[in-house]
Formats: sequence, structure tokens, C-alpha cells
Amino acid sequence: MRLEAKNLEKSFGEKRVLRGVSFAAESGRALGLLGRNGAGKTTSIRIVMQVFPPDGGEVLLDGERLHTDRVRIGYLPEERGLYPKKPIFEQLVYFGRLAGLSKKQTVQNAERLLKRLEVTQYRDKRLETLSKGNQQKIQLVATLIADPQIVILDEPFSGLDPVNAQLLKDVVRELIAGGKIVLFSSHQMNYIEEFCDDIAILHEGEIALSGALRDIKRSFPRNVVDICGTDLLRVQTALRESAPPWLVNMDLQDDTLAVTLRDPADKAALYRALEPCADVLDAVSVREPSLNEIFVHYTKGASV
Amino acid sequence: MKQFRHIFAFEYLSYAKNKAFVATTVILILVMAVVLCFPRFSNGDFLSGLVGGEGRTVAVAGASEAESQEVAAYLQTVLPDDRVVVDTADEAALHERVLSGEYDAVIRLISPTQYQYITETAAMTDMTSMTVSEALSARLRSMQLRAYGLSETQVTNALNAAVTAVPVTLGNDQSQTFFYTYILMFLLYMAVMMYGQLVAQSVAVEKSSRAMELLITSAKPTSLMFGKVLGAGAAGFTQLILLLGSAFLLYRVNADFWTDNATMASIFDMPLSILLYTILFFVLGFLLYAFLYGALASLASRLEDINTLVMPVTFLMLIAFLVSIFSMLGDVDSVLMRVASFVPFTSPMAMFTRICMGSVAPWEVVLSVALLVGSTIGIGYLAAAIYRVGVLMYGKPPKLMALVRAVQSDRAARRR
Repeated sequence: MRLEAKNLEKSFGEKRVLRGVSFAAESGRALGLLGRNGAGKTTSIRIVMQVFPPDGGEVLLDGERLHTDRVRIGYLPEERGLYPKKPIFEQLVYFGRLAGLSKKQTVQNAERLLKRLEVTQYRDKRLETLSKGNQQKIQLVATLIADPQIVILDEPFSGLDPVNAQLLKDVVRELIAGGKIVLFSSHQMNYIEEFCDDIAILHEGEIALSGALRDIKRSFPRNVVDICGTDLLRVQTALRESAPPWLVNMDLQDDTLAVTLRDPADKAALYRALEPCADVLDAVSVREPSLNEIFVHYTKGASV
Repeated sequence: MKQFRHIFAFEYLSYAKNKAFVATTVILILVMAVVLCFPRFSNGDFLSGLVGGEGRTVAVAGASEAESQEVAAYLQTVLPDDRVVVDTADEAALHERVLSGEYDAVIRLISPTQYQYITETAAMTDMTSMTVSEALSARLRSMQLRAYGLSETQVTNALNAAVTAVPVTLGNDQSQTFFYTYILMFLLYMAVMMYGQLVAQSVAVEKSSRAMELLITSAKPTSLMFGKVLGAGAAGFTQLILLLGSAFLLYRVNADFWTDNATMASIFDMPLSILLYTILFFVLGFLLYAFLYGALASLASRLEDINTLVMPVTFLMLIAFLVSIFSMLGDVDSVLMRVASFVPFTSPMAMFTRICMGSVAPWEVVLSVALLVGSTIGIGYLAAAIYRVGVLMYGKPPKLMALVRAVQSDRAARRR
């Protein structure tokens, strides 16, 4: 399945929140929707879920207009919310039933998910009596209760301790492996980098960048080479003394010497120049930009 | 429709399972049981005990001992529950004795046509001075008539001559309808207000706990709004039926003990049609107001905001209630009431009052109910439209114009 948002436009009053936003997500691949606060992530998600219609553009599933009553979407809202004063199992069943599941199916799903997330013992407790981490897990159960084909996770990792974060990672991997369309929204880049094959960076209501994460990384200038070794000072001195024309800059920090080249093609010349020092070298690699750097690069400048 | 059913059931059950809601119902039924069973266990005169204080001491102070004695003996016959004594001390001493509590009241004769009625506090329900005035007037008249030379029999006949009216009522007898109308009106007002507030509360709780984030993505706002309002309405209706049902049952069981009480009889012998009208106007009035409550509460981000937001609606209902209640004491078919019985927001109460106590043509009732039904449905959809926009607005509740614009642009986008 392929979920596609095409040229979404949305204004609230005078404010144009989305100005032609497009992105696409596929089964078995996770799409990371990135953006600073107020970039339009939540608005895009709400349009996908048909909480409100866009002013322009459309949301397609396999080329046809998405109907939320035919496809089940699981949503983990950024602002976590369930009924604090109601027993957990009761409200899980309620949300399952609202999504159109039979009573039996809902109960089965709820029991399976509670077990998977190791919170079965709280099923008859009121939500507010649980710790924050456990409330988060219950929230995830509510998201997945209807066995949705599309899963939208808005900041799923915020507020989780490392053990619970690991559990959630495993669940997300299962979802992706199970052929679900997974939409991630976050500004915690490390998680996006870990899970998402595709990304779309939203900036001030527009897509600043989108595509496969690997291609995006490759598209960045590959003219910085990181050198690791036991005697980097010797390497630095040797390079400085020969002073080749392709050497733009050198920066020695901790265990890494970063060499900036005039052109990525000059790396062959660099390797040759390193030959005399080969005995002290551990690793030489072209530096890839981190998602964080990419994100900052594309979303710098004023934002709300 | 399926979603509506789940929401309705969820809302209804959350009231039915709510301890406070159940406890209120049980307590109200118990209170009614105690009141309605009371005459069975008291010896029937508890009402008189409630109305007048028994065993009061009233002193009579005349110019002479003899006159005081005579008046006191005479007054004792008209004040059988009180103890009438004679005390001819001076005014200051009498004041002293009233203040000290020795006497509850003093009747100080000044002239044949005047007396002072001295009490510490003038109670509103104290009828003694009226009884005394009447008795002393009769005594004065009979003395004067005798002075003109009439015989004892002639005097008695003259004083006892009286004219009585035979009532022929073509419409409603307001003395019969007043009490149950009053009680039902009050019930209507309380019920609509209470259950309306419950709807507001439940909307605001979902919004402030952000359960709304999930709800709004799993159900249509219209289903949510209608499910919520009808769920609360059904819960309220169940409570009312339980209350009214047990009241009737308890009255029937104890009917033999209530025979002398005209007020009670007039309440419980209300015609069936009135009961059905009560249900009709409760249902319509509740729906109309509950939709407004729900819509306004959807604008609140915090529970504290609801009270300010729903204030206009509460006032509207209070006005409807007061107009109807005050007209009950005067003319229930006044121009104001005629108008009010067609305006949807006031008609549940005004038209109901007029049906109970005034004279209304059938077409008026039909028109009023039709207008009410129409506007209830209209308000229902308007409420859902506001709710749809309102639940996603966080922060300060929007100004009216901003809200109107938001609803309009939402509808425009939806039509696309």
C-alpha cells in the first residue's frame, strides 16, 4: 500500500499553515515527518486522518482517495490522552469498538497488546493510578487496538525510560516488518534515523526536503574525510608540510582528524598523501552528514 | 450510526456506573420515602405541628382586672392551642416579660377599637393577631348591636349571616393545578440545568485530558455530540423516571394516610396528559440546552473555563424559569407568556405552564412543539459544527466572531 499526500493546503484564519505539502509512505517502510514546532506536522497528520479537510490537495491510498471508514488508522497523539478516571480495559474496548471491531476481536486484541507491552496487570486499574511510562504504553495499546493498516506515531519516544524505549522500538520494528505503513513524527533525530527509510522535512508549511534518507545523505557534499589513528599529530604535520592544493582545512578533535577537500574527487590524492603514515592509521572514511545536520541545514531561519 | 450507538452506550453507562450519580438517586428516593411515609408513623397531626407553634403563652392586659379576665376567657376559645393569661402590669413591665420569654405575645387593650400586639420578633407566619382582631371585632360588634337594643338571638343571626360562592370553572382550576405545576416546573428547570452541566462537564473532561485527540480521530464529531447529549439525557431520564415512579408508588402505598391533605392530593392526582407533557418538554428542553452546553464546553481548554462559557445559557434558562414562575402568580396567558411560549428557548417552560394553568388552543401547542423540535435539531447540528472546530482549539476560548469565522471556513473546506 502507498499512502500519498498531495499538495495539501490549509489555512486557519489568516494563517497559512500548509502551503502545498506532499509526501508519500509505503507499506513496510517508515516515513519520518520532521519539522520544528509549528511547522505543520500535526496539521498534516490531522488532514490524513480526516479530522478536518484540507483547503486544497488530497490524500490518496494506492491512488484512490483515502476513506478513513474503510482503512483503519492507529494514532498516537503527541498530547497523550485517554480517560484518566476510567478503568483501562473498559476504555481500550471502547476505542476498539469505535474503530469498528467486534467485541470479541477487541477484547482479544486488547489482551494480546497488554501482554506484549507487559502491562496486563493494570487492566482493571484506573489510568491515572499508573506511572507515566505505563500510561504511555497503554496509550500505545489504544493506538494499535484496532490492528490498523496505517500507524501514525507523533513523538512516540518522549517521556520513555531506556527500557521502555527499547520495548517500543521492538514494537515499531514489528509493525514495519508486518507491512504496516508507519508515519513517524518527531524532532528526536536519532530515532528517526534508526527507523525511517524515508523522510520529509517540513518547514513553515512547506516540504523543505523529502525522499529516501540514504539518497539524501549521499546528495550532501562528500568532501570531508575523517581520519582515525594512533598518532594524528604526525599525520597532520605531514599533510601541512606537503601543503597540496586540494587541502582546504584540517581540524583535529579528540581521536579524529577531519580533512576538508576542495572537491570530493580529490580523496584519491588524499589517500596517496596518507601512504607514508599508513602505519599509524586506523580508519579513513568519508563523512556522511547526520540527520541532525541535515535537519538544521534545511530548517534554519525564522519559524514560529 | 454504529459509532453513535457505542458512544451513546459508553456515555450512558459511565453515568449509570458513576457512584455520585447513583448515590444522588438513592438519597433522593430515600428522602421522598421518608416524607411520603411520615403520616403513617406520626399520628396525622404533624402538619399542624409544622405550621403553628403549639403551647404559646399569650398575656392579655386590659384597663381593669375584670375586663382583662373577660377578654382572656373569650380569646382562649379562639386560640385553643395557646395558653391565655391575664397580666395587668404596666407597658414597660410587659415589654420586659416578652423579651425575657415569659410571654410569647401580649395583647394590650388601649381602647375598644385598638390594641397593641407585642412580640419580640414579628414572624411572617404568625396569624394570632389576625385571629385576635377578628374575635375582638366580633365581640365589639355584638356589644354595639346589643346596645342598640337587639336581642341575643338577633345579634347572633346578624353576625353569622354569610354569603358563599359556588365555583364553576370552565378551564383549569389554578388552585388545583398550582402545586403540581410549580413542582414540575422546578423539576424541569433543575433537571435540564443539571444534566446540561453534566454534558458540559463530560465534553470538557475529554478535551482537557486530551482523550479528545483520540476520539476525534476515531469518530465523527456529529456522532460524538449526539451520542454524548443523548447518553446524558437517557441517564437523566432514567433518574427522573425512578424518582417520579417511586414517588407515585410511595404515595399510593400511603394514600390512606394522606386523605385530608388537599395539596398532596392535588399533586398526585394530576392528569396523565400533564405527565406526558412533562416528559415531552423535559426531553425537548433538555436536548436544546444540552446541545448548547456541549458546544460551549468544547471551547474550554480547562475545566475552570466551563462555568464562564456556559453562563449565558444558564441565564437564558433562568430567565425562562423566572418568567414562567412569576406569571403563575398572575396571568399565565399574558402577552409576555404568549410570546415566550413560542420562543424555543423559553417555550419548554412557558408553554408547559400555560398548558397546566392557562387556556391554550391545540394549534398553539402544536406550533410551539413543532418550533421547538425544529430548532432543537438545528441547534444540534450547529452544536456539532462548533464542537468539531472547538475541540481542536487549545488556549484561551475564542471570541464569538473568531468562532463564527472558524466554523464557516471549516464548512467551506468540507463542501469542497
